[in-house]
Amino acid sequence: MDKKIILLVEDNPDDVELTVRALKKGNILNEIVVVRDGVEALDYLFGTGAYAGRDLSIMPTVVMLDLKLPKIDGLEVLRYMRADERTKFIPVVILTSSREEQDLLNGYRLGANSYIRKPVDFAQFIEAVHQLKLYWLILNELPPRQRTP
Amino acid sequence: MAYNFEQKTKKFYEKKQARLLYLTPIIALILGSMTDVIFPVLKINFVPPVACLIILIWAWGLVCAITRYGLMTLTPSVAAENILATMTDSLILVGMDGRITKVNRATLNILGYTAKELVNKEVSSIVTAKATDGNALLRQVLEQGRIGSRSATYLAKNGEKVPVLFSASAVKDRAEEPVGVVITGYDMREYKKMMLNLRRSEEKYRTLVDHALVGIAIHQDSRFIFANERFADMLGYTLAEIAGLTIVERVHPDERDLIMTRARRRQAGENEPDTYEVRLLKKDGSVLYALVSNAVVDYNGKPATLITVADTTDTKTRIELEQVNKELEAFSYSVSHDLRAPLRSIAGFSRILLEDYGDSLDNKARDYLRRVCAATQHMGELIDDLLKLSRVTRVEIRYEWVDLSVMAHSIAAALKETAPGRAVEFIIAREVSVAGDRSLLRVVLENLLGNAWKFTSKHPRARIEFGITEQDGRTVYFVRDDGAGFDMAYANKLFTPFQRLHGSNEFDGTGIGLATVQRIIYRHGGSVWAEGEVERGATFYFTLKS
Repeated sequence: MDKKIILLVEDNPDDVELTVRALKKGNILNEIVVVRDGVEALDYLFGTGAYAGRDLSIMPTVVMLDLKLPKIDGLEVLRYMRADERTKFIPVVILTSSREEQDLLNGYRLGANSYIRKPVDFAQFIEAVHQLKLYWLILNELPPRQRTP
Repeated sequence: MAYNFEQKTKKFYEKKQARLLYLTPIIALILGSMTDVIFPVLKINFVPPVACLIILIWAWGLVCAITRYGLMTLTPSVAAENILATMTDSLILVGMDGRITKVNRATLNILGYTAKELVNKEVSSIVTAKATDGNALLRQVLEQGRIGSRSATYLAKNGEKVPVLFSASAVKDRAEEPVGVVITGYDMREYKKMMLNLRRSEEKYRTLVDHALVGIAIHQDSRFIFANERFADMLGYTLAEIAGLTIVERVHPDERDLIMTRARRRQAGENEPDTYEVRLLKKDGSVLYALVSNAVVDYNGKPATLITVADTTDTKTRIELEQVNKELEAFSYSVSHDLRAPLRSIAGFSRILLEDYGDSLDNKARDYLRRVCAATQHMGELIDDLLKLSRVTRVEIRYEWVDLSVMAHSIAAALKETAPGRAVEFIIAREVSVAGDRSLLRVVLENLLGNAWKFTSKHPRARIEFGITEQDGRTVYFVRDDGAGFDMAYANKLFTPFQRLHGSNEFDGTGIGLATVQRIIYRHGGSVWAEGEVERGATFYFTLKS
């Protein structure tokens, strides 16, 4: 079975810790790659910068993207991803504490697949992440292009 | 000398003269040949010589041309006739018997008579001047020799009284004996019409100025010489008080120098904006934010400044409000994002502590951690509710028809799902439709029905009603329950944000719901109020703009 990679783009270390913990709950083993800002996220996805020489045939199964990020913000990362053939079809879940209508609209307009507002209640948060994992990593069928890059 | 007042031009006479000159020889020739041919046939023996006849008739033609049509004579009479015929003033010649002998074309045009009808008419039947009739007038003219520039009335054929400015003078023959009177009259109708139009136009502009929304004033020789009421109102003065003021002392001291410099430069012909924002001082010393426009005009032959002033205080307030709103929006966003993030950490790690290390903690420590969790959750709700409240104030209302009955049913169903065991009866009036913003009205009903649901939770059975009634001719909607109710002494505190009438150990809540309801209702142009009694339930009424 292919190893499934989750790319978590999140700058807040607390949120990283909590999200990783939530993702690790349950029995499915995944590799979780954590990047701290938009630039790093793009470097990972396109094999540039710190990730130069990375095997680009291995792409994350799902990207969990925070909106407020240093250097390049989440929506900008999403725009780059949707404009590039290699990353066009990777599911992107926006994970944010913002519920501003404008952010929501822009996220969907740029081709986000889901939009999850991080709840304050940790139990709810674990449940939300669990559902996300279940859906995007197990139930969702990816387009064939994704498997044979 | 007899003038023919009818319009006959020089050309007309020349034609007549020419015709006489060529017709008479032809007639003479024909008659001459006839006598030569016909007389012998008729055996008439007396035959005048043809040449004689021709000369005779031609001579007669020449005499006619000279006497009747002035051939080869000087033409002052023709010129005079032309002048009289073309002049626009009326001219009437009256004989000593008081009858009209001649009139010119203008007279006919003014009065509507033909020349024939007028000649021999009594002049007094046409001309009256104030209380004097035509005959008295004639006598006066004959006595004084002439009278000038008086207003009189001509009676036209159709009965119209034509106002005229007239003068009259006596006509004398060579022996200085009066033979009649000549009356000239200027038709005043056009003039009067012009004056009327002028007055109307002046009234129109005066009304415009008087009722203008902008203040208008004229400033000349360092003081106001004219102002409309709006201008006086704006500055808090009466019209009389304005008259002595100068514009300089009405400009805010901070801006005086700038304004004066500009005025000087403008007068020196330099390119300066003639419209600018300025602070003016009212009589009571308060500030008027104004948009002032200047124009240099000529007033009574001297340069003056025409000033128009628009009150921009409201615009200023609006701009400030918009600014505040924008800041509020940015603030809400940062509250939404930045405040929740640390809260999530506190909640998350407390939970992890409980889960991973719960076993190694004593009961007290576990209880404290649970309190931390509960508090963070409550704070999360508070933040969310505050955001909702601010959003209610900011969003634009989109009016549409909303079926409140259907909405109430769906909210009731959702509430029942949260606690299926409760015995709550919902009574919802049918077909209550209103014009309003769907999502905002949903927030209203969710809060009111949610409150009713919450405050009946301690009772084994409950009844929650949504209905419509009428009070003082207004349509009033209400949500009624038979739950915990409240003390009417605190009714005015119900809608204050964070104000709660029940302890959180009794009923949970943030105290923002009703404040949100009130804002939504206000924004819909309605009002909201409540009635209640402790343990007897509460009723919340609201109206919407009809």
